[in-house]
Amino acid sequence: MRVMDPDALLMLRVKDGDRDAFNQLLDKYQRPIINFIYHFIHNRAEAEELAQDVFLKIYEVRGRYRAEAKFSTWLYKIATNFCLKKLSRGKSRTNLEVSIDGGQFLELQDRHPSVQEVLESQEREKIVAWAIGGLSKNERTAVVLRKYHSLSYKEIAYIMGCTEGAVKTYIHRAKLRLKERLVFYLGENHNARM
Amino acid sequence: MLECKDIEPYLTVERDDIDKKRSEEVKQHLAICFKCKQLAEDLDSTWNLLDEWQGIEPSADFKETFWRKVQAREKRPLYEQIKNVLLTLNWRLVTASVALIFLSFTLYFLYRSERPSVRNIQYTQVDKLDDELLREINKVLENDPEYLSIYGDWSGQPLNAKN
Repeated sequence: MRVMDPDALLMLRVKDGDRDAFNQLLDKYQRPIINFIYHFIHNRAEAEELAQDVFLKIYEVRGRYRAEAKFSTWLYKIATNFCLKKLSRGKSRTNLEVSIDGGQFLELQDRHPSVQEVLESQEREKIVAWAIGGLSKNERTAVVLRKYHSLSYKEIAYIMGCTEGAVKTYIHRAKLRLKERLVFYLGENHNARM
Repeated sequence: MLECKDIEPYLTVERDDIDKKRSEEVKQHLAICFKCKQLAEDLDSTWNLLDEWQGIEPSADFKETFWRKVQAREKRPLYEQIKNVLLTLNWRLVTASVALIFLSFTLYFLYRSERPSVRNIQYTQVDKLDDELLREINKVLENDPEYLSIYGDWSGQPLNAKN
């Protein structure tokens, strides 16, 4: 017997007008979706704004929802479309300075890290963001979904509307490109530790 | 035995995605080839470096803001809602469809205008006279079928030539 995706069941309740069910979905997915978008466009304010738009879209089309795919995969598909639209409009300010903002800084302060630790962490994040920012849209989508959201090739293929083979190719190319962009940093760090 | 040029694709895929035999071959190659081993290590290190980019926490009022936006949208007047629907349309597709419909209608009317319509024929005075003449000839032929024999037979030969 096929077990129904519990999130899809929640969404079916939303379809019937249950707002609490949508609150449960928001609780579960707000962080992953914000982070997915953040890894895509690298701007906290825009990531939250776009995540709101994604959830609004889902809420607006609730009447037409059919539990055909896993809810999370469907949600990521919509979020991916929003991100790609945003990137193609070219309005996203992929400013590296914006990435380390107040919220994150406070989070680090809670653990009482040294100034050196904070600076190093900020530097590493900026470099990784810069390297991912240099990937093509398809490569970036595949890498973010695989690396940060641990989705299977099959799920990524559904989200991107391509074959699993194509997803593997995007990741292969992305890994080679990331190596080209990041290897200097690894080299520097390795030398510094010596 | 695998060569260096065959190794690269296996270095970027996850170990579970390679079959056991091939995985063993890759391992053997890496044990003897420093260049490929270095490449494998660099690829692993850069992939692991991505973990350094940690996520962010949503704002505390994310949900409240969301429901405020839902309320605002639901309260919007009808024209605003229609405007929103229009904004979400794929305008390239809409424009292409309208252009296609326009083209189809234009071609249809052009085709129709080239075909003569029976209803639009204008009869002149000469046409009427021709018509009357034809009717008269028809009447004469009906009463006297031999009437035209003075012009010869229907073989096209003049009557004199036959004789």
